[in-house]
Amino acid sequence: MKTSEQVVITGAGLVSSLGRTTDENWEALCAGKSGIKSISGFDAGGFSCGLAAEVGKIDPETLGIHPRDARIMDTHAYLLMMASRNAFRNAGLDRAAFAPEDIGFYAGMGMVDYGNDDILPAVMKSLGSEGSIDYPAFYEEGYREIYPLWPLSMLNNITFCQVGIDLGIRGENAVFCPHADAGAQAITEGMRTIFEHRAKAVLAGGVSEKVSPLSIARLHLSGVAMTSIKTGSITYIPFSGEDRGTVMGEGAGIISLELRDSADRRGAAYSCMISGYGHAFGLAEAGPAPSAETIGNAMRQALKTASLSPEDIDLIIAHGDGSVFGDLNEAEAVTAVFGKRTGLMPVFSSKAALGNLFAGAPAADIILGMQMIEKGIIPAMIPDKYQRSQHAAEAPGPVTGEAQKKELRRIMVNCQSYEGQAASIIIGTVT
Amino acid sequence: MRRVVVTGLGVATSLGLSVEENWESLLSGVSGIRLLDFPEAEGSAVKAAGALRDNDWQRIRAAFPEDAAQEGERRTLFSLWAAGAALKDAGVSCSEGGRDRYGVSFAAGLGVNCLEDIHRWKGNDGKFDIVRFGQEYRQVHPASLMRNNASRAAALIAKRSGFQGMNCTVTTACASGTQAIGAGFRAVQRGDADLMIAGGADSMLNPVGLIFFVLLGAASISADDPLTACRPFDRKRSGLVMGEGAGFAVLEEEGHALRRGAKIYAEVSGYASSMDAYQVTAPHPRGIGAEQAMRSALKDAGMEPEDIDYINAHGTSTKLNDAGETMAIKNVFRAHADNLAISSSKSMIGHLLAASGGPEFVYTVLSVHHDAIHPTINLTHPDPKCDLDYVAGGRREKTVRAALSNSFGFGGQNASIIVKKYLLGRGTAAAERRTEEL
Repeated sequence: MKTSEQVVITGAGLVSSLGRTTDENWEALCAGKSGIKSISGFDAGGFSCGLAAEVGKIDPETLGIHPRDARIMDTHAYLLMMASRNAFRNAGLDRAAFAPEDIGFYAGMGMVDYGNDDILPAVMKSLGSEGSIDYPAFYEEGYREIYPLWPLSMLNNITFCQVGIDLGIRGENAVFCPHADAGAQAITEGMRTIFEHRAKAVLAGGVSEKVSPLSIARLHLSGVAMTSIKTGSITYIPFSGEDRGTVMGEGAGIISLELRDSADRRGAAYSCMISGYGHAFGLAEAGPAPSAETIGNAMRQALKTASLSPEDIDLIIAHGDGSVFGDLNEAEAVTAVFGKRTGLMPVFSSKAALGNLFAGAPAADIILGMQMIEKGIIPAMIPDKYQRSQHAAEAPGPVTGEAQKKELRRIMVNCQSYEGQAASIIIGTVT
Repeated sequence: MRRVVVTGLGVATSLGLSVEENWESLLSGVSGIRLLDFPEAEGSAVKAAGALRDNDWQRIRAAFPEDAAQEGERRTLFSLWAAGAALKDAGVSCSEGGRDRYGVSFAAGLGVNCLEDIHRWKGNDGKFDIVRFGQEYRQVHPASLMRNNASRAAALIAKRSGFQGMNCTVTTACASGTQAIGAGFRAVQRGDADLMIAGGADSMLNPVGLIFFVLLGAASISADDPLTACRPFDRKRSGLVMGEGAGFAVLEEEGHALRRGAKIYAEVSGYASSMDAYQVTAPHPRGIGAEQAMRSALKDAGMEPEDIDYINAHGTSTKLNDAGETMAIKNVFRAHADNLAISSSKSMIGHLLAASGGPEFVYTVLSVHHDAIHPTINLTHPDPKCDLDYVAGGRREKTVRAALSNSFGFGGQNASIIVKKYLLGRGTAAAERRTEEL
């Protein structure tokens, strides 16, 4: 690849439980903070796990969002809007002379759940004499209790389009759903869109689901949720061997992509580029996670598209979601791909601090990875709480205890879905 | 860039479970729109839809007994049927493993919102009992979106087929199907995969689905005869009529297809997407996003407007879409717009929503392959705003060198894909120039 054709990252927006800007997130991460706490958005006392990394209430007025638009928006929508605006401005796209048709947009987004209060009045108006749902009554009167534009709030692409309208984006686009691989797919498609000259700039990334009774129920039904700790502020520990399960987080990450040539011409700053990507599928037989072979396939493909060998990777930002089979299989895959270098390979997971952002995780990890490359620091993953993994003998060592100073040139970011998809993205310094 | 050909097709729609049956019905102007007869539909303002025939549904269930017992959503089984049929048609057996360059690109709708899940946990005080729900969530409805991820069908198709490559699910409302096929096309074109099964499945024929477009004012509920209410481009059109089902195509790198002696239906030559950036509640009245998608797809294919003979329109039978799409076609194709044959499959199968681009792509490929165009039915009252050739009078035999299929989604996302006759070893000069550029 000619250097002028490198796809560089010219801007970033990251919003999570740790902060509303990239800097806030980075500082909180370096300070060893975790956003994971007892769920405060609703009474989660009935669930076996009541922990999540929530962003708290976001007032749309402070974002300048018209109440009419806010009526069909929810937390995930505000997060995508905030991260996208930040990336757009951070990249100077508000000042760049790109036509709206030349700006693309790709996002990974989660499932969208109704608010119980959106539908409950309709159900209450549709009860038959025995207390069951009387469908003719629902169609006649009951459904009128539902806000007429409520259906739009259920489509995740409506949020995406609201951001498109807000920023005036009219180019190539897609929404992928619902897990981390979807967020990675968005970045891959964005990277290729730039490389193939289908757009001059692209926003790409993703957003988590809202932490709600329904999304927490979905996580529990999937069999990957943490169930051993009910409340409190204790963090969970990816690769700890305790295999407690994953904890949901709220957040969004968006990056701006552009050809290096184009960024140079308009004087846009960048330090990193997208070097490679890989996508694979294969559900593990033992449980809800991609198999080790699948995770390894995605990693190898990413190395191949980047024309790199394992020796060129300085850090892995693992999916490391703390789930039983997810962690085990990822550790096996890292060992298989990196061979003898495995023990020397630092591994970081942001999920102990940010929670599992699902479709928002890949871009969030890329943004944190860029900070690590720029500052030469790998933050400690879980200060003082790391316990030796049962598979630590063959697995890479997570960065624990103290932050490490290290010159980083290339970082591999891993992403997985408990449906069986795996993806890897490599970012690197621009040379 | 590598050339991408279509080697397999599969559908499950209200017109039946085979491509042949679908195609013959479409050419004959037979409608799959029928009165809804499931118990929960009683009293619904939406009286008819392109629902699968019950015996077809039972056939699908019998073909996948384990999945029928486990999976709660109709769309998942539709997917297994249609994707399986497309792979069989392409001669790709589902037993071999280790296919890391074969992938799945799937289009999904929003899933099922179950009133029963609200009803079950309503408290005596008229509020939702969240704590009790937290203790009993395992009792949510089998079809609930709490049990069914959007990517479920994509995962099941890959698992069943041993496809270990890229596996993605697109959710861009009614543009999803064409966008998923576009994503699959590009994955093969750029070399990330050698073969992709691409398409979509959807069903909103459930209580919340039935009021979904009524609330938005987009559903046809005022027509005298619900069976002919889907009348794209007709002056008396009053909104969309839902359908359900799935449509998939096998997209394959040319050399890969030739080496294994696959039958080639057509070549995919261009794809593009766009956004209106206008309003989430209505398409742009002048169809600027639609125009841009078609224009960019032509450019991507290295084709001129005059190279297109047929458009499988989005044609939803809503006031805004059909007028806006017509205007966009005129703006892109100029004088050639009058030479185009345009038809809407939705007039016979209804609007398959997120999946619509799936079967419509299949039909577009068939038009190119057979040099035949299905009509737009129920178009009996010409609309001055829709004054192009919508093939209203019945099937048309016509050489179709290349055809374009449109899908436009709620929110303002648009996608257009172009299919042309496959000629061994011959790309267009412009396409080759574009390849050299890249």
